[in-house]
Amino acid sequence: MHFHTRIFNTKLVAHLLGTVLLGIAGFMLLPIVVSFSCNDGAQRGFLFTLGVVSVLGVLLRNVLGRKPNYDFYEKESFWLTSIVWIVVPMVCALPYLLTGTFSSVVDAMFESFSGFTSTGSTVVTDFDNIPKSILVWRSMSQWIGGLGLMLLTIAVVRKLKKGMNHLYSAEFSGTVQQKIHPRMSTTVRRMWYVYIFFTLLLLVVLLVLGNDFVEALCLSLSTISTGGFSPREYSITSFGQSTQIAVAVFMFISGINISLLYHLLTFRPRKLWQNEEFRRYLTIILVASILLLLLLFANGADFFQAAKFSLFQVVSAISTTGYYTVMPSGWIMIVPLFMFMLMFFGACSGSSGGGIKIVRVLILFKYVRNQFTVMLHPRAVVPVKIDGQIIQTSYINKIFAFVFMYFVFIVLGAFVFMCCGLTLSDSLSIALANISNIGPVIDTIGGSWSYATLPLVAKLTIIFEMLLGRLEIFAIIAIFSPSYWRG
Amino acid sequence: MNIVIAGDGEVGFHLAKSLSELDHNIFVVDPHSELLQKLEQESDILGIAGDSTSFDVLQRAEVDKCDLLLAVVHDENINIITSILAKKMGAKRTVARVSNVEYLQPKNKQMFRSLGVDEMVCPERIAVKEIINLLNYNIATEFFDFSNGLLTMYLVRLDENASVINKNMREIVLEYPEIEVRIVAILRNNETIIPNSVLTFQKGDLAYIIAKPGQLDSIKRVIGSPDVNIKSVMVAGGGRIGKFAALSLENKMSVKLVDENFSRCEYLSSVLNKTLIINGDATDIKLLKDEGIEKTDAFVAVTNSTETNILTCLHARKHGVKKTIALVENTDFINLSQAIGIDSIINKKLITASYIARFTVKGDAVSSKWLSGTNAEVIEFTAHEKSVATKRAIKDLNIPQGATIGGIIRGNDAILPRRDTHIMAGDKVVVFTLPNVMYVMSKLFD
Repeated sequence: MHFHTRIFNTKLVAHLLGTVLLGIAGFMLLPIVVSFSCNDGAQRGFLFTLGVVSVLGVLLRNVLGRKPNYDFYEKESFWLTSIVWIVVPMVCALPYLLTGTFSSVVDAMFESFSGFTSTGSTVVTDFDNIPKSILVWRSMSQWIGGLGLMLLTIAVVRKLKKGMNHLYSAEFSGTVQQKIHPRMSTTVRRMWYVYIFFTLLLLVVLLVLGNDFVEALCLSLSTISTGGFSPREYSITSFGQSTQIAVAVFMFISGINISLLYHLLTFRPRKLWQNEEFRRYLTIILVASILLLLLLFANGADFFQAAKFSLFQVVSAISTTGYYTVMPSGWIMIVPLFMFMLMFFGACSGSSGGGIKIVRVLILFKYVRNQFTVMLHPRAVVPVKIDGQIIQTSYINKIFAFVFMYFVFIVLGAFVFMCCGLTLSDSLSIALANISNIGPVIDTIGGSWSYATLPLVAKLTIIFEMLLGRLEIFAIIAIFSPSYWRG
Repeated sequence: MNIVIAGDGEVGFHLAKSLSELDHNIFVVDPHSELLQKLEQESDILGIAGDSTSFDVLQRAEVDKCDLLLAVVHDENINIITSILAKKMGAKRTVARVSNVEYLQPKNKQMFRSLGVDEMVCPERIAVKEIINLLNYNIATEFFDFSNGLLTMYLVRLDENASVINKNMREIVLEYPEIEVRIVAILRNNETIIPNSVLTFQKGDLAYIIAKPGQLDSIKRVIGSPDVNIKSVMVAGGGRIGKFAALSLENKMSVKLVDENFSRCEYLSSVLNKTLIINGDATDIKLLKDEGIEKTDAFVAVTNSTETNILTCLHARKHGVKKTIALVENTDFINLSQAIGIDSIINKKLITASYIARFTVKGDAVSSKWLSGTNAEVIEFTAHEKSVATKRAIKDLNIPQGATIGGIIRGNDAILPRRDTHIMAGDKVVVFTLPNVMYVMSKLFD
């Protein structure tokens, strides 16, 4: 009660972690079905993992975390977020090991973390001999992680009343929280419906375009989550034209705030247009594509080919999906630099995409612009406004801190990669692409980077960067900070 | 239920917090976005920053779809305008907090209703009502009625004379078979405990007792507390509450009212006929002694300062006043003041919030009240034919630790349940529960 010093609610954390694991076990049924129907030899690996996850889940949920008290505050939410995001991808790396996809534990971890953080960096090299169900599982993990493990928790645990805001904002950030219903659980459930709707829509479109079921499934799961795992080697270069266009359209959709998509689906498209971030999202895509097109055109590329390529590449980078299509040689020098700039923005807040998020960049730009006004008119009152609402300075300070940390971790990551013998530009690209959850990097020598050949230290660093990016840094470094433990 | 709460002051805050735990969809409208943020962190609501008298803001709060609009801003004019606008925009029912008691007169109420203000609540008025109740039922420190008065609950402090000390409920029932009372919850060291049949009561426990009305004598026998018949009362603070309290009490007992402000005293003396108005500082011990505090039966401190109220009550208690009531506006002080020995606390915001909460309960849970100082809730459920609760006797219902059935209303009769009582369809069941098992209890009546 009021005068008690609150003790950390371990029981609830265990209960919720267990619940998430059981949810994951549920999702695992899909690759198992695929495995049995294709008879690809991965059945045993999956069934074993299913067993492990279920037993662990039941143990945590019903034994350790039995009848918890649902008091939930910031401290628990940080803990839960970090612990879930570490434990779940680790456990879910089991199928990769058990089916023999990877022989090294670190590789399996890499693939799993890259999946759940919807990054899309891959260490798979031999796409021909990989079981179909593993391909589905990779994309499935991106799909779950795309909307988020905490959002899964909120949707599943109905008794959670307090503290859901902390959980929500650990994975979804925005200026003004765009709850689409007064109750968080309903809001989150609606977000899942929107997410599922677009996934199924893309699946149907891809099937109609004549794709193989498993590949269509993988592509839709990885596109809607802005993950970017492909069931084939060299991303989606070997897929047909129409498939690539469909993927581009849905990458664009996935980069939009899900609550706006909800308004779109409930026939209120005006809300979409009223949203400043969405308008900027469109502007950036258009301006960037045209610039890229002009650059390529000036370098002697075919106009239509270049147009298609620029639009695809820009959408892929800004939505942080990370797919790429074939790139004619000769264009190479310009593209990576250009992508590098786009990666800073990231997708819209409240979408499954990563990066700094457009709204944050927008706020900072407006803030800087206001500083000039203040220089000329020292007594001017010029608050930053987004959608007509004033953004509080305390929030802007948070953004500055966030962006600062973002760059710190990019530089630190790049430093590690350079120590591993990579070039400066590659190191920076890798750090940026992974912290903003994009994934594949187009390197300066052409073609795609294979993460498989990187040294162990580099792989572990990338795992950390991906996690930092997905949880927007603070949730994950909070548990490493001494003041958090002091209480 | 869709509820829009206009105003995130203490009343609004408390309402939003408690109602959101009861699965309502809640929008809170307030111009202060930092207050809203705090509330959003603590409870599951959707905050909308803006003025509740603006059409745009009300639209954003989906007032057209709301079942209940609660306008509880400090300024009554805003509340009235908000209610009128909301009603015209489609709100099903509107409640406005007002401070002008004139509005509450039946003929004026009708006028407001035709404008769109369905209900009005006046916190000061509710506070006064509570004070009078407390003085009339002086053995209890708090009390309230259920189901049109068929059951009453009392909050009683168990002192060393109480015959239930060191006994458990089973022993008490054996010892006093004729007495129909149940102790449904106790507050011990700031912790709310729902007692099972083997928990023994201790000195200093605050016990929530359910009984049929008119059982006050039986309760007195169980508690063994001497009856204080209140013949004189001293009121500190001549604000709105003090004025109304004196007005309602002056015909029943001798009332002295102390207020610092001379012109206020002059005004009060024109309104109050029998009350003795004293111009002076209520914290001045000498003044209180001169005015015969030692011979006063009850002391009511309702000045604007919570600290003054608590301190003067402590003084009064030290000088032998048997019953002290303090107006405590700071909710954090409530437990503290009860711990240091003040009998009763009146908190305008809490009682207003629990009064307003009755407008929200429809269908199954018919009334509920949050008890100051505890985190337990009292909910009245209606049992249906299909409810699990009607299938078995109470002892077989697996009622979780932390919840208990306090009483059953069947037709016009109140029943105090025993272990083998069987709940029937149509019964109204008064459930005492801690929030964490509330869900389980509500399942029983689904």
